[in-house]
Amino acid sequence: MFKKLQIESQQTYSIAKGVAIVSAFFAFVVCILLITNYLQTKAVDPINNTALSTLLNQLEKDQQNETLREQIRAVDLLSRKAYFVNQWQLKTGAYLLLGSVVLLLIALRIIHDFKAELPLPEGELDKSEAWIMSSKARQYVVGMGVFLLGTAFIFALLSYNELKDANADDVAFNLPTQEDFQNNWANFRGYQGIGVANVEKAPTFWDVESGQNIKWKSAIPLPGFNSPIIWEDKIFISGGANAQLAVFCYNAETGALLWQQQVTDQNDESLKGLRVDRDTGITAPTMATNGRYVFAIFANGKLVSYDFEGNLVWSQNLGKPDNHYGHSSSLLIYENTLYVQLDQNSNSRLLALDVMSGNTVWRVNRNKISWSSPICVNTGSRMELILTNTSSVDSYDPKTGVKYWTIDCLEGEHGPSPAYNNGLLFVANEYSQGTALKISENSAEPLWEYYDELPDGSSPVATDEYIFMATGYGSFVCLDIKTGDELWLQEFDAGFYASPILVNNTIYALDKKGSMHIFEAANEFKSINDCVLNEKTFSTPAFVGNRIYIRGDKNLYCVETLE
Amino acid sequence: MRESLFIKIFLICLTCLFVAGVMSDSFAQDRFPRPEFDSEYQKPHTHAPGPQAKFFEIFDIFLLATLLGLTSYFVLKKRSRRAVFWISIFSLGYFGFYREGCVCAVGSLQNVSAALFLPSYVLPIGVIAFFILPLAFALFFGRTFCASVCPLGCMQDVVMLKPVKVPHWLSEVLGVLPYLYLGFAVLFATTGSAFIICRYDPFVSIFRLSNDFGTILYSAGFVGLSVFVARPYCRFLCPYGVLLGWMSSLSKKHASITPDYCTQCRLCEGSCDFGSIHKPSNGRIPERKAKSVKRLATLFILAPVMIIVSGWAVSNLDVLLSRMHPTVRTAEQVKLEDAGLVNQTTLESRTFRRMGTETSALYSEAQAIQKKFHTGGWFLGGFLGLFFATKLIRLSVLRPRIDYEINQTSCFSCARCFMSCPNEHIRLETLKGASLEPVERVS
Repeated sequence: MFKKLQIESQQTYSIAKGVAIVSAFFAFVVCILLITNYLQTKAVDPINNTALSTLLNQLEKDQQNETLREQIRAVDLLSRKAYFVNQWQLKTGAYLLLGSVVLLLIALRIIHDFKAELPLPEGELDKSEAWIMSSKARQYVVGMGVFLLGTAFIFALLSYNELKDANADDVAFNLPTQEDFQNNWANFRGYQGIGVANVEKAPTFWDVESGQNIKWKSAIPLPGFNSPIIWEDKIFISGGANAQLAVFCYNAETGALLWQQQVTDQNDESLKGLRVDRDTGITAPTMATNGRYVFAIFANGKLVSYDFEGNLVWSQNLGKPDNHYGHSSSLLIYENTLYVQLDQNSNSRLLALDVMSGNTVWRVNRNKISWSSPICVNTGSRMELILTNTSSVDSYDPKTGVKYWTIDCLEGEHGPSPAYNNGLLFVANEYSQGTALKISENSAEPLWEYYDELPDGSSPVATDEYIFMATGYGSFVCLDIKTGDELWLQEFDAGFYASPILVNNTIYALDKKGSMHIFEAANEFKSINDCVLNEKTFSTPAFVGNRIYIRGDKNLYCVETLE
Repeated sequence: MRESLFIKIFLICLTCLFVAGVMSDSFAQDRFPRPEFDSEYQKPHTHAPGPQAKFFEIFDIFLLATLLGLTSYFVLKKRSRRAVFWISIFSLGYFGFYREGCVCAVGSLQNVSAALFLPSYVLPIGVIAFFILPLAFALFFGRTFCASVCPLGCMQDVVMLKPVKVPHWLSEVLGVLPYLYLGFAVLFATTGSAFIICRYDPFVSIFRLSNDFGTILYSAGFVGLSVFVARPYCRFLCPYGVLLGWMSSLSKKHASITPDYCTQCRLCEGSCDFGSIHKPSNGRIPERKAKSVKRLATLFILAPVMIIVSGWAVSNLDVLLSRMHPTVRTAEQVKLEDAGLVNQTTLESRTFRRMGTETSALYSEAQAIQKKFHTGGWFLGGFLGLFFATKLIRLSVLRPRIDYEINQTSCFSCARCFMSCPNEHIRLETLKGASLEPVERVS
């Protein structure tokens, strides 16, 4: 039996030896072939075949040459065939190599097992050896632990958390009061966004050519349709052109450009392929500020926050708005929340962001596109955030985003923002209608409708008694707020893009050619003055203190009654 | 004879499996049509492969259980190294090359960890079986899974031709690594960051015959190392081996060097290439007792300190570790891009921007993940601190051993040491008529 086992073992050993030699030789040959094939494959690149490129160049010069075409096809076919054959060979070779290596290993394993002799013990058995080995190992394990701990400490010290302040709340900042907001021009159309200036008296005469009552005039580096916002001694506007977006800060006292910040550079992909209407542009939305930070949004969906020194505080990319004219809804601030009306063809939404951190406080989905801006008004017992789109007027709780009420009373591509006074809301849109709504606890009741002279971009403004509207074709209309009766209609030479502003009992309406029409907010048209800027104007002027800040096509103006 | 028959059947099965694999490849339809070389080319109908048959999931479980059972039988009952070797060749072929190393028990611990902490993570039955079955067998019969069922172990075992002895102290130091790997693997899996065991599997690129150049080099390096260092991955990296070791240390029916009794002939002393044989020890510590007691007392007192300090240290690595999570990486990239601190955008940041999600939401999500890493870091650090403390305590006590014994925690049940025992030869009747008397035992 033992002899038989020995013979069997010897046979297995001999077979294994033979298999090892053959498989090693085979693996070596396959290896050589694979390397050769790999080099060939690298050389045969059907995409960059020089012969093919030469022929293609010839074809460009002689496009009707059918023989050449056939030749190109043949060369292309050949090079592709060669490439794919090489690929197949590589793959097959890899399998063959694997197979031969596996065989070699098994054979070597068997040879090794046969050859292996059982190890004989060395020296005398030392029964205290275990303790010596343990002691030595303990020292090294301690060393390993110290090393790992030290490494962890070093890495912990060296690692910097990029996201540490990403959404940090700044509790030290004292929020501005409502009075602060009233005394400044923190967003589009001033306090609450309803176009009513909190100033006693604004200049009613200026002359650009003689410089009379023009406190200063400053050039604007980049164009844009957004309107200036003012907080104390600083003015903010945004501008953009040629794949550039920027925010500008001016000194309200001197008109000096304090700083400008590029929001994008030439490599920014977010502006590539962005299609906007030229009447909207890429910087239509007006900025907003809370007195510490200033916020700007652009047509590419980029939302940025800077401090008053021009340092970036936070920024977000809200995604490229799906808006065929370009995003134009302005930002609005109420208390410590920034509201972003992001109405578009799909994925419309209203965002309430924490002004300090940019964190989303709440978000509600909306379903229609619009180009209007939100307003936030006190309707008696509560504040309501009111938005319009192509079909409805919607009211939300500015704290939670809960919808108070909604009413369908609009049609068409809606641009003007609502007017509001003392519980009465007025919304209007060209080719649609104007509707006065009486706001009650949980609903809005239509009071009357008006169909004649309707605005397309300019927003209406309301007093206790009247509603004033400027149209894109130059007519200006006054309606009775209680009945909707047209009290008067005045035709001007140029249309209006800027929204009229109510200053005490005076209306300031800036037309597209740069003429500021100043008239009484009364039941009949009583002109006070027409002041000309000699520059195209599309932005709504801002009124702070006894000054008017007007953004022209190329310049920013400060108008003040100078003694 | 019976063993010889088994091997023949086994080889026939293996050949059939190989032929079936080759045939199935021959009949396989290209997923994408070949390019049109000329106008006469008939485009084949393109169709995507169907989902993997349920059959394979069940068959894999069945095969796993069968191979575990067979290995346990051949190790414990038949004490056959040859059978273990051929089973390991089959496992390497099937679980390694045919099933391309997935699903594997080693990686399954990540799936199980993720399922425990991520409510949305679904755990397939196959993964559960691959996680539990080897542990269950280890609990009763030792690490028979490592012996011949795990394709990673088999791969190393096959190429182990000239193993060198790793010094005991180095083996103990490197033995820390599997615990580290286990801890980090669980942390990354439970935070939904990554399955690092799969990502850094050294053999999967060999099983799949494809990968990038760097990974192939890494795999080749490991295979090369395995020729000279016995099972380097199993001993000094495998995180699943930690769990198997715990189970195996409790097993009552573990393989033993001798089939009968130890004659203390010392012939098995150098037979284990994995250093899993304990030599006899008289249990006497060659130093003053007070010193040993003081050391032990210090270690017991320091144990909670080690746990806390280690927990604190790892928890402070939260920022660094959280970068394994794609959301955190994207958030950091977006923030750096927005701050103008980097010029290059990444695919992730560009994709994020196209999604239209608010950046603040991304930041909040990333910060929440960082918090998870902070908490997880405490647990991981605590675990590592406890491990170090336990290890140091273990190395500070000396258990008296009369005979040569297998270290049940680290033994792979490979059956190599069996033939070094003269009693095994008597059992096999290769030493006809010989008998051995037990030696006088000296404690």
